[in-house]
Amino acid sequence: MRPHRALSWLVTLACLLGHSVHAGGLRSLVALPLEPGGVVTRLQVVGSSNPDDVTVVGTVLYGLTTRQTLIFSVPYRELEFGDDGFGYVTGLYRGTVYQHDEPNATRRIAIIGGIRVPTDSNLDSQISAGMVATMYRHRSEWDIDVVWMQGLGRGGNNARYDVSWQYRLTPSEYPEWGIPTEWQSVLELGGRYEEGSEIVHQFTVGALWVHPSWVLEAGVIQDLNGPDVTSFLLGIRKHF
Amino acid sequence: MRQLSIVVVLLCLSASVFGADETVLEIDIKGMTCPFCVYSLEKELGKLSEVEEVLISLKLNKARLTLKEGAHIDADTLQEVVLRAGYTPGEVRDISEGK
Repeated sequence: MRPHRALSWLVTLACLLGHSVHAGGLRSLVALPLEPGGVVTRLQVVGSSNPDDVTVVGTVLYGLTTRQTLIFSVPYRELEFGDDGFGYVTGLYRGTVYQHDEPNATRRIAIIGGIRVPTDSNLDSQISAGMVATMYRHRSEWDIDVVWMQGLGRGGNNARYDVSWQYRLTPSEYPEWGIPTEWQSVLELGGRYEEGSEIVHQFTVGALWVHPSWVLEAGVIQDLNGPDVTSFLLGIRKHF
Repeated sequence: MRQLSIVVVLLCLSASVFGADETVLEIDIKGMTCPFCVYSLEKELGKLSEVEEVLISLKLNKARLTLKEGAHIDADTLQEVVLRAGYTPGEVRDISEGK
């Protein structure tokens, strides 16, 4: 496998389950609620120092019930040598199994399960299962997720983990009334595993601009081992 | 005649200013996090046909609802909407003027 292609797949894999479409981290999952019938969309662009390796990931969240959310995601990779195309289409279910709310704080745990279906006939489907925990208190949010992706047929297995910390930079104190916009810093440690290779740990640093119905996001992802690739991430989320 | 007209106008104005039957409710809410998440709560509360205006306070952990003239919502309905949006509702208070 050519290095740029390996990188592309790694980035694609990294993005495929990056469903923190609600407010939350850049690449981690999140266990915060989406109202029944509510829709959140996200468009995220991930690239690297190789200008030919760009992945665009479109994701839609739909609030099924207060505690159940459906997540659909599809990436589009633009590569040199003409092998552009869609990757795995992902369908996930997220169900909240624990919720403890306090003033300005919450702790939630959700289970995740779903399927990844390739658009390329050379690939095989995967089923995935995992969990995500979110803890929010005052100015800090922590999101921790672990997901296993079991390959079906000839396909190999994948896994991922993320630990994300978001800190509200501004405003330092909320106004008495009204929903303000805010800036958040994001620090993340994640790992992506593909069967047959060693797990690649990655560090992400970035920022979020959070508006009541929009989020703009940007970050830099650095491999801590393995390919030693630096990638960038830009995205936008919209809550309908 | 002119004096009578002025008196009538003043009476009408006072009725509209002081006689408005406006109800303002506040509900405590636990579990609110960032603006993007709380937007859903504002949206859900705003869908209630009785509600004229919704204000959310992340600082005070509550929502303030101004109801349409003559409208009424019971506490259970409000708490159910908050619960449906994914948050934990608390006490509902009527803070209308004169209450």
